[in-house]
Amino acid sequence: MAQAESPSNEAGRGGIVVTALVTAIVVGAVAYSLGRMSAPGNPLPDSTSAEAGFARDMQVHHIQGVEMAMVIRDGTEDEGVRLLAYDIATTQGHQAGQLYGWLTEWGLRQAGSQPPMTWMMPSDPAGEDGDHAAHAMGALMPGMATSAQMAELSAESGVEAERLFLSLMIAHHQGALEMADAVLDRSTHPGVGTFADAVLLSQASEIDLMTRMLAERVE
Amino acid sequence: MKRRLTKVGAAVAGVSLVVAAYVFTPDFASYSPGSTGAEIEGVETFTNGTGHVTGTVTYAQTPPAGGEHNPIWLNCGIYSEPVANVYGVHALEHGAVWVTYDPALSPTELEALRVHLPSSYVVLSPFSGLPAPIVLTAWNVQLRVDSAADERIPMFFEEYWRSQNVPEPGALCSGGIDGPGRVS
Repeated sequence: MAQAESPSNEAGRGGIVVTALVTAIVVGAVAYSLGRMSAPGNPLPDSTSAEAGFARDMQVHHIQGVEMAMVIRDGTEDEGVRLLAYDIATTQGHQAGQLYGWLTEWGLRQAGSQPPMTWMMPSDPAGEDGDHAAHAMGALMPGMATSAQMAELSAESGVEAERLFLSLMIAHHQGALEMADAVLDRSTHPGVGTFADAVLLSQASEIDLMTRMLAERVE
Repeated sequence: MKRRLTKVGAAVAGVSLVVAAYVFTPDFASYSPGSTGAEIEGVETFTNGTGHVTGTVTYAQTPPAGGEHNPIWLNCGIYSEPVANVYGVHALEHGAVWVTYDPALSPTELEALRVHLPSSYVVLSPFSGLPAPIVLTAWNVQLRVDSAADERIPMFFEEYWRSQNVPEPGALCSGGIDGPGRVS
């Protein structure tokens, strides 16, 4: 069949082929872009992501914060401490619910298949300094009070209880700052970033407040 | 001839554009919120009430997996003695997993069981007359296992611990009442 074509026809057919190829490439590229642009922007964090680990572990952390605040609110009559406790309990209770809701929206369970704090493990443990040694998998989260400390807080009353509460809560807040910093280092999720920024801002100023309150109560 | 080819080419290009744009669009993320429970073999599910009562309650399941309970909830923790059902059920309502074991369970098995437990929202207690050596219970769901090495134990925790399907998700598992023999 090709042998029957005249030279001029062959040149014309070559042009058509080139045009068709160029058109196909352009169509493909435009269609691909259109498809991508119409897709949802942020994929949902998965179960082993830093976002999910933060949402799980920060809940455990915050829920203990609520518990400590409720214990001291019952354990003292000092108005300043009781007001601070009310503030901490309602804020951290609300934030814990927010974290719970994220996991639900992301289609994830409240419990992960990995031990707590796995998301905070350095990706290259050998290259990190000793600061991260405390974040061994499954270890207590930074700033968490032990069950013995919680029992002691419940047993104390008055200014002794206030002192213990303030020092435990300062450490607790410092642990939260560490976790918020860690998620900011590992995530670009805008909602998570806003949340972590709020924790950094509010808890840092509460640490200042509690440090002053503790100084007023030196023995 | 050339004009006709151009028309056909343009039509093919147009159709291809639409088809390809559709094909190249990634799927929207699809998910179903947690705690469906279908995939863990042996999990039983129930329907129980939630009312607050004082006094004792006769429960439909052993150990109870829900139902009427005391207004005070049991504080989550590790108990070396049996805890009262009316308080334990209230802890389930707040999202706790209640791990019960036959008092005859060996110390080695008990230690292996404790390794599975999260730091909060869990009650561990001995329970006389259990239908299996170890029974895991969350609100309206239950799993019987023979050994602490059963691979369904971590699966049960992943699926049901602090589930949003409890009547009061997010309510605390502290600030209630301690049972006797609380170890931690």
